[in-house]
Amino acid sequence: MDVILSKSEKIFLTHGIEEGIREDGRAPDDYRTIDLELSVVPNANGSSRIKLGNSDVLAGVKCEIGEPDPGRPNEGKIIFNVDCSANAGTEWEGRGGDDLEIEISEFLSKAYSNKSCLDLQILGLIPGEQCWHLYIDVLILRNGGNILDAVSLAVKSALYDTEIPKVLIKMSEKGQSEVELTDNPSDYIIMSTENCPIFVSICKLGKGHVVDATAKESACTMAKIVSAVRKDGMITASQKKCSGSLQESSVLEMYEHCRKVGMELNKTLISKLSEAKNAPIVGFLA
Amino acid sequence: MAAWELLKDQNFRLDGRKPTELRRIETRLGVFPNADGSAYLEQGNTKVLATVYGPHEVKGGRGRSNPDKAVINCQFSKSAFSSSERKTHMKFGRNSSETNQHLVQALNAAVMSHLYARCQIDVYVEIVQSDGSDFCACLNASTLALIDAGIALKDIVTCCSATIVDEKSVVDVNYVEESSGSAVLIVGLLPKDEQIAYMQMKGRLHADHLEKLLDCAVEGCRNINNILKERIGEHLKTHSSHFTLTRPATPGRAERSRPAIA
Amino acid sequence: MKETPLSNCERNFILKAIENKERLDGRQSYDYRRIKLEFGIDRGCCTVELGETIVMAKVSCEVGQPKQTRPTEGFLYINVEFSPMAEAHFEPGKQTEQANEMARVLERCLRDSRAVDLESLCIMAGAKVWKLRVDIKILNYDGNTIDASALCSIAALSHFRRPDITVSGEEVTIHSVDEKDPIPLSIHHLPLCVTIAFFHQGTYCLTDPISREEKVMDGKMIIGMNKHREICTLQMTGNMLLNKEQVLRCTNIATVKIVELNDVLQNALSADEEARSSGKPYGTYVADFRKVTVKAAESPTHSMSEIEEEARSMQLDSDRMEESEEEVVENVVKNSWLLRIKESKANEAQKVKDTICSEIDEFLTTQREMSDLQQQSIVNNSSKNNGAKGQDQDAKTDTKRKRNQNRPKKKPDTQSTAKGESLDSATSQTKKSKGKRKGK
Repeated sequence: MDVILSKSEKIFLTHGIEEGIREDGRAPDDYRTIDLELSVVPNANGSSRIKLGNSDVLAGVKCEIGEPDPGRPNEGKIIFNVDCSANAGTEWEGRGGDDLEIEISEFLSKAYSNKSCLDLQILGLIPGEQCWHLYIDVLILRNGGNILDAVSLAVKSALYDTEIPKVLIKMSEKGQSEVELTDNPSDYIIMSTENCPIFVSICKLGKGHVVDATAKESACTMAKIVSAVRKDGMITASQKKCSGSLQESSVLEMYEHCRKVGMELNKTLISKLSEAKNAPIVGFLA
Repeated sequence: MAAWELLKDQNFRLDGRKPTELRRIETRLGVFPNADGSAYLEQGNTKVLATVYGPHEVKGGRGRSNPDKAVINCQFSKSAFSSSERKTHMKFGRNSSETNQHLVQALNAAVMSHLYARCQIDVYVEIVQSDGSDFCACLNASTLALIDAGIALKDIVTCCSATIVDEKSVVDVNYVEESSGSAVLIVGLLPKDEQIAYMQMKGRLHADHLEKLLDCAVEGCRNINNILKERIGEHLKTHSSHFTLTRPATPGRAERSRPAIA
Repeated sequence: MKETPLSNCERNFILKAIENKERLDGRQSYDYRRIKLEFGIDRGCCTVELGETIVMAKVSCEVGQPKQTRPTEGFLYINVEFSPMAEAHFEPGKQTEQANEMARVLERCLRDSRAVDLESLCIMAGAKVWKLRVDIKILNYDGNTIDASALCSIAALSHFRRPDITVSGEEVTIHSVDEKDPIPLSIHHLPLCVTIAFFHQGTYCLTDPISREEKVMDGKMIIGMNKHREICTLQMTGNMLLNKEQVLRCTNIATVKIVELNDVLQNALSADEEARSSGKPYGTYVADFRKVTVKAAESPTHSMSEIEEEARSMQLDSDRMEESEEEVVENVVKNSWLLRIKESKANEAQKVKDTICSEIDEFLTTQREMSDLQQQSIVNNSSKNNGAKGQDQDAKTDTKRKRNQNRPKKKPDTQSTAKGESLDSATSQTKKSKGKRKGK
C-alpha cells in the first residue's frame, strides 16, 4: 500500500518525528492498538487474528505427518506460507502480492531457524521416518503499514494456540513402528512459544526513528531495520530494508531500540495470550 | 457412512438438521472499512469474506473495457487452513479459474451493469473456513458485499445447494454430504421473479429426480433470501440512524430504502 | 491475432431468423449437424466431425503413485487444447477460459460421474496406479465443441486398451502389446453432452449451435447425460435467466438427443471392432478427411434425421430396383414366349387361310365342271331333235351368244365367266358334236 506524499508533507512528518511528535499523537516507541483473538478458525489446529491499527492478519497452523529432514531425524519441520489476499487491495490481485509474500515468508523462516525459538524435538515421532510438519499459513487481509510486525504477532499467537494431537506409536506385525492418532480431541500437546521471536521494524526518518510506522510514515522512511527479537532480548534475525544508508552509530542505536521495544512487546503479548485463550470467540462478526 | 445412514432413518442428518433445514447464517457487512464494500458470511461452519472494489477504471488497458456495461472481475481464493486437510490453493489453477468465471456470470445477472459503462467492479472472495457449499457461501457473501458497496442490483442473488440422499432431497449440504459422492446441485436464484441465474450439477442423478431437487434448492434460496434481507435491514438500522426501514413497495429490493422524515 | 467481431447486421439477421424458427444452415431447432465418428489405427485415438467442427482425442496411460487420500484410485486427467489451426485467434499454449471451462465440464461429466472405474486402474494399493490422460485437440472450430469433445473422449476411452500387467509380490510387469493382448477400460456408462443455446432472453432455444450462433446467444446450458436418463452434469453459462420449466424442457430435449448420439457412438464402435477382427482396413480416416471436406463444400448440411430417412428410402429403392429387375427379366421371358405363340398362331392362321383358299378353288372348279356338264347335256338334247333346229339352235345359240356376250358386262364375272366358259365349252362341245356328226 503505497501512499503518495508531497515533499512538504514528508518534511513535515520528518521534522515532527525528530522532535518526538508523531502524526497520530503517539510516542516514538508506542505501538498502535493491537486486537488479538485466538481460535478463529476451528478447522485449523491453531489460529489467530491480529489487528494492528489498520493492518489485519489471520494466521492458521495445521499439523500433518510427514518425513523428517535427513540431517535432523529426530526433529519436526515448520513451513511458512504467506498469502496476500486481494481483499487488501486491487494491486494484490493475481500475482501482484507475490513479491511481498516471498519476502515475508523468507524472513519468517530465517527468524525461526534458530533452535532456541521452538523445540522441534517435540514434533519428532519415529526417528528418521515420521514427524510432525507444522504448516503455518498467514493470510494478510488488510495492509495498514508495518505488516511484518503484525505477521510475527499473528504467527506467535497462532503457535501459542496450536493443539497438536497426541500420538501413539505402535509396533506393527512386521516390526515397523506405526503412528496412530488419538480420537480424543482434548488429548493434545502444546508447544512452548515463550522463546518465539517478534519482529520489530524501526524506521529512520531524518534523525529520529519510530516503531510501528503507519503507511504515511513508511513513505517518508529512508532506511528501516527489521529485527526478530526474543523475550530475553536476543535477536535471532535481522534485515535492513529501504534504499537509504545508515551510519554505524545509527545502526547500533536502532538495534538497541529494537531490543528494548521487542522485550516489552513480548512480555505484554505473552500475558495477553493467556487471557485471550479463555476469551469467547467473536471472529469477524464483531 | 453407516452411522450417517442410521441417522437418516430417523430423518435427521449428521449435524442434527432436518432435510429441509438450512445451516445457521450469520452476516456482517462493512468488515473492511478501506474497501468500497465488504461482507462476512457464515453458513454453518463455512466462513467467507468478500470485498468489492469499484466501480473504477478498467485495469489492463482500454481493450478490456466494455462501452455498454461494466466489467465484473472476480477472484476466488481459499486459504490453506480452510479445509480439514491442508491444501494450498492454486490461484491460477483450473478449478479456481472456473469458479471465478462462474461467480462473474452469476453476478452479471444481478448487477445493473449498464449503469456502469466502461467501469470495472472487482469482487474478491476469500474462504476462511470451508465446510461444504463453498460456492454458495461465496455468492451470497459477494451479493452482500455489492450491497455494502452501494452498487445497483436488480435483485439479491442467493445461492443454495441441494443433494439427494435415499430419494429425499436435502438442502444446504455440508462437507461430509458433499464428499459422499451423491449428486449435488447448486442453484443461484434471483428470488423476485424466481429466475435461475446460475446452475451447476456434479455427480450422477436420474432425470426424474431433477425436478424435486431443483424445487428443494429453489426453496432453500428463497429462505436464504429472507434471512439476508432481514440482516441487511438490521445493518442499515444500526449503521445509520437517519434511515428507518419502511416496508418496501416491491418486495425484494436490495437498495437502501427511502429515508423517512425523522 | 484478435478475433473478428460479428457485425451488427449479421447479429440481427441471425436473431431475426431464429425468431422465424429458421437457422443459417436450414436445420430445425433441435437438429444436429452431420456427425462422423472415426477411430485411428492406434487404440484410443478418435476423431469426431460435427458439421465443420473437428475434434480429436487421444487416450494415453502411464504408471504413477496414487493420491495419499485415495490410495486405491487411479487418475483421469483431461486436457483440452484449442489449436490455432481451428481459429486464428486461438493462441498456442495459452490456457484460455473457454478451454478451461470445457476441460472442467468434461472432467465432471466423465470423472465425477464415475463413468470410468478408477478403482480398476489400481495396480498396487498405495503404491502404483494407472494414470489416464485424455488429450483433446480442437482442429476446426465451428461451434459446439463441448458436445463433439464429450463424444470424442468417451469414444476414445471406450476404444482404448491399456497394457496388461502381472503383479508378482512386489514386482509389477507391464506386458507389451506383442506379449499379451491389451485390456479395455472398465466403463460403467457412456455420458454424452448436449449443448442448448438460448436466444431472445430464453424464449428460443437451439441445440448444436454453430460458431456464429454462439456469438449471438444469450447463454447456453450444457447437459451431460447417459442413455439411462441419468444426468451426469448440468451447467448454465452465459448471462441469461431461466425458470424451472425451461430447465426441465431442456433435459427432455437432451434425453432424445442423447439417444441419437449414443447410436452414432455404438455404430462406430461396432464397425471398428468388426473391421479390426475381420482383417479389413481400419483407422484410415486420414485419407477420407479430404473427401469429407470436399463433400461438405458441395452438398448442403443435412441433419441426422434427414440422413436416416434418406438411408431408409435408399434401402427401399434398392429393394424395389431389385424387384423390378426381376420383373423385367420375367417380362422379357414372357414376351419371348408370347412372340413364339404369336408366331405359331400366325403360322397356323396362314395354314388355315391356305386351306380355305384351296378349298374355295376346288369348290369353284367343281362348280364349273358341274355347269359344263349341264351345258353339255342341254346341247346333246338339242342336237338329237334336228339339225335345223340345231341350225336354229345354232342361230339361237349364236344370238344367245351374242346376247350373252352383251350380257356378261352386267352380270358378275365369275358367273359370266363361268357361263361364258360354259357357253364356250358348250360351243366347243357342239363343234365337237358337229364334227362328230360330220365325221359319221
